[in-house]
Amino acid sequence: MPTDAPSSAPTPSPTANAAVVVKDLTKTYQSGPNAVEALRGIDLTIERGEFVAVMGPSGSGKSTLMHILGALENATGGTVWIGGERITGLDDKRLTLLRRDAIGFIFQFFNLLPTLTAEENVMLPSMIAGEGAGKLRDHARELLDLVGLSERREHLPSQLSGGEQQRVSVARSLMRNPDLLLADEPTGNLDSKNAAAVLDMLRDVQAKAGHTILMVTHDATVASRASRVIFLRDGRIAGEVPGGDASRILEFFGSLEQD
Amino acid sequence: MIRALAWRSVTARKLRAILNGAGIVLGVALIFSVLSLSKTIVGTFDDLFSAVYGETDLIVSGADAAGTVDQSLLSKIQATDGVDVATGSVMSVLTLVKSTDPKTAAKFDQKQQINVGGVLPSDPDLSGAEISAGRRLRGGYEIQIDQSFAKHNSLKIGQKVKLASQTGIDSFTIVGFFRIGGGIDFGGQGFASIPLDTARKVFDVPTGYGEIDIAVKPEADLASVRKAIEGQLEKGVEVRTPSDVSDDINSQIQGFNIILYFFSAMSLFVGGFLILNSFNMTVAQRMREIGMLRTLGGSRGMIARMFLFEAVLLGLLGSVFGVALGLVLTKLMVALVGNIGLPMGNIKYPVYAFVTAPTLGVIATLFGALRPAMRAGRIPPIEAVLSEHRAKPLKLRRRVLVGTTLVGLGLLGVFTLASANKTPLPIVLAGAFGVIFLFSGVIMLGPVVVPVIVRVLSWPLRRLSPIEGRLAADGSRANPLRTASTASGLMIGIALVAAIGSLGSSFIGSISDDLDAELKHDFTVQPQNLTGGGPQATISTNAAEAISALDGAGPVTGVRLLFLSSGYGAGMQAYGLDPSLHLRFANPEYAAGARPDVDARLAAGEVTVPEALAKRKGTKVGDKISLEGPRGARNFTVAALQKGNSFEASSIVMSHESFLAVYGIPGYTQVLVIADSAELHGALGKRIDQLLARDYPAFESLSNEDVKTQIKNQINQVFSIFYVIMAVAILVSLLGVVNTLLMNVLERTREIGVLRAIGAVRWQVRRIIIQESLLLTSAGAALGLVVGMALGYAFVRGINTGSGGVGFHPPIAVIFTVAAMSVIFGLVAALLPARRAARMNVIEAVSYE
Repeated sequence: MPTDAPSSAPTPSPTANAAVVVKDLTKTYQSGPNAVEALRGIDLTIERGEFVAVMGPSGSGKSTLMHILGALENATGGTVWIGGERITGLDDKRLTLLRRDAIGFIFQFFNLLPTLTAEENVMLPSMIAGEGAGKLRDHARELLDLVGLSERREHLPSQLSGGEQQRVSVARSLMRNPDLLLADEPTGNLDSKNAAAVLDMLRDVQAKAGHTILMVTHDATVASRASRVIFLRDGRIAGEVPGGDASRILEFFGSLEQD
Repeated sequence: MIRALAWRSVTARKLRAILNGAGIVLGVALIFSVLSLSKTIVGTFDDLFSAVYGETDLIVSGADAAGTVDQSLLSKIQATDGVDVATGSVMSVLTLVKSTDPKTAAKFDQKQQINVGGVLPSDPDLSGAEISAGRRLRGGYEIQIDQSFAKHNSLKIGQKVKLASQTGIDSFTIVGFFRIGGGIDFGGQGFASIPLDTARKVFDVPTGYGEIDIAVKPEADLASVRKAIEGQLEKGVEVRTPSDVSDDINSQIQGFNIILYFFSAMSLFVGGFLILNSFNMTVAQRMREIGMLRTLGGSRGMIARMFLFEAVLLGLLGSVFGVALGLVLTKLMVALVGNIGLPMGNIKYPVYAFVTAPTLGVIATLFGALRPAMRAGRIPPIEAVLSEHRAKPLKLRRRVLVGTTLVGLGLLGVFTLASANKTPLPIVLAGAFGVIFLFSGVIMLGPVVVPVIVRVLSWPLRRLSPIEGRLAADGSRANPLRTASTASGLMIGIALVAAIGSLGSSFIGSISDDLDAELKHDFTVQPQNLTGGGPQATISTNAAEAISALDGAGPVTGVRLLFLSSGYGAGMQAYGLDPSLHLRFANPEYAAGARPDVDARLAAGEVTVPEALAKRKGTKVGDKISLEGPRGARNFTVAALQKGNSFEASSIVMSHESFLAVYGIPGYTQVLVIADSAELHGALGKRIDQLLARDYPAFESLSNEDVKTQIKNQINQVFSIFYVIMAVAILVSLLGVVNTLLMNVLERTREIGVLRAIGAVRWQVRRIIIQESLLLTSAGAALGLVVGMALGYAFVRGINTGSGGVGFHPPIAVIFTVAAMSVIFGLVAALLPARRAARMNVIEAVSYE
């Protein structure tokens, strides 16, 4: 189903309670004469408050899925609803505002702004949205307390360890209370101790505040912390296992790579 | 191999190459056009003199710009051995009257000006002009006109033409046309001759000759005839060959040329600076590649050569386009100079311009690229590969020390040049190096000063848009050296504009202070073509009488002015007035020790001398000084030393009789009028205007406000050419701003990506870059204004110390214009970089390394 039809009003999602609904999502990259089909028809529903991990070998399309769900790029076909709003077919401005208001990002390389303090980095999404600084500061402090960095508010990213930076980044992603938290290999650049701490925090956020999290990873142990693990291969969903059991995930992942 | 890499580097960073190239193009174009301009000016005068003095061997005239030599001199010269023919003539500039409508007639137009010579019809013509139609002059009100002027104004033989002169309007019958050297154009001005007797009446020159032209017998030796004539001349009267005259004019123009050269050299310097910054960025960007080449065995020299080769490539390409643009720019420059009132003939492109301009372009490029290239060679390979090389920390203390010293030396050098009354080469060099030192010092101080300026200027931006303003300020602070040198590039152009502006505003301000404080008259009547050097045309005494007969006219007095080029007071001016009316028109202030009743002493043939000049010369009240003019040298007793800054107070003041006796200028330069009462002021002004339009269309009447406006316009016109040159320099430095912004955008790709990912719309990103650009341009402008005014202040103080008469007035209009322009510059420079930043692919940007 082509989706580049202009969408004036948000179309209500078929499953009103779901945080994310994906229907028959396709993405084709045109590189010169060759077309690369990154996604070949994905159907996926993530309920509110779910913590979903996406795994798959490189080239499986997991990054592309993440980018489309993050409103960073447009789909070729299919439909995506986030928090009940259809995002496929929106123009750049609407996508940007959607990212601002409905999505939180956690990147592998933290991506804090080097000239802003930890607190300012946390406040950044709201400042971009034009909110006044006074109230923001209190909220940012609460979030920094939540990620255990109350003492580090005035530090610049260069004065923080990798684990600390990623915790600031988690706090930043929560600043606007988004419908969907996207984490792209959030532990990929951390040692195991810091990785565990960040994952604990994500689980906390999910369990206590009820945030919906979608995490891309290639590490089975990391994926096992999610409530559900979805496997992608060749742009299609190849399977799904519940979280918790790292060995089962590893096994499934192994079977994917062998085929 | 090196060449291939260099070529690839140019093509890989096309935009930067284009920006650099454009900098060189502009610099080279400017140098080329300035060289062509000065060649054109010189060429115009050379053509003029070879046309006017075609068969003249020697010319006898006063050393100053105007005045007549004694009439008896002609027969003495005619009697000199070896002289074949000697003819005396008087000259003036008359205006062709095309309309008697007061509105259009009052408008000065260079194309209606005719240089008229009064010659004896029986004398042979020594100009070398040939009669192309009609006949020679016989007598009475007949005129011979050059045929190109006749053609432009559709004049026919036998027709009557009306010419406005110092004595009013006269009607002449055209009897013939002549052709001057190949029909050259002198900015539309015409040439004509009329019978001497008629000229004496029309020009109001009852006796004397403006000059005596001499043809030497073929068998006589020119040098010995010249010597024989020289022996008969008094001081202040000169015998010169036509080429001497042309050389004199050229050396007068030389000063103007030197300033033009200096200014265009400064813009090329800015171009070199652009290259320097730009190559520094390229080196930073290509760090890994350099490391790779070095680990593969590339030598330091090879790396350096790679960058230098790139520079040569750029320099050559830029020079070619620069010359092409220069051909166009020359036309603009010539038009601008023509506007000032200099006659401009056909444009001449000298051969050396085609060589010099590109050579300088390549040298500037190499100069800019040298340091970055050497630096690139010196980077340790392993650091380069890991892209870990960081510039050495700045030695701030040393910078401040050296920078401040250079600034001090620079201002001192400028002061020295400005205070000098003569300008031999060492002093000119002191001034030129002063400016260069000053700029170098400020550039050294840049990394210390510019961040402070940016911090201050970013405050309003941060208030207006907290996050964008903040990130913009962070962006310009991230690389203080780059920010400082980019702002410094702009500083140079702005500083020169502010310095020129300071000079202009100080001259205008001082003159207008004088007008307000010291002048009692209400109207100034003067020839429309009155120029700074001296009266080409004068006002006859009968015109002054006609004005004083007008209803509502109070006291009316004539004054005579002449800029002195030799003798006591060379470089100052002589001022002739009517002592009996002196105190009605001025409030002279004399230094202690003045002889009693100065005006009576002026009437008795004594003079007053400006206090500053007297100090320099060691003159005291009661001393005798010798003044030289076309009528020879005369001794005068000094009655008093005059204090103050007014035009009169900085002149040697004497009675009209004394003035005539030395300088032989028969008419007045200006006529000053006081209204009978303040209520009659407006009505009198109208009556004077009507009188002038009807009877004396060659004159204009100016209220004191008009005088201020006119002076302002004249100064602005003269400065317009410098502004054009500096505009080019500023344009070049803006290319540097674009370059820096593009580099900053590239380096902050990841940050921009993150901002976009977490919800910044394109416009917000754009705004960050625009604000960053505004910070750069306004910091450069602020620094430039401060430096420029310091430069202007040093110059004005220097002039005041040397010759007096000027006080520093800050250039308010320039300050506001520059401030406004810096905003526009910022917006324009940000266009492309902001677009790039806003159009970035977010996904790629977020993971950019």
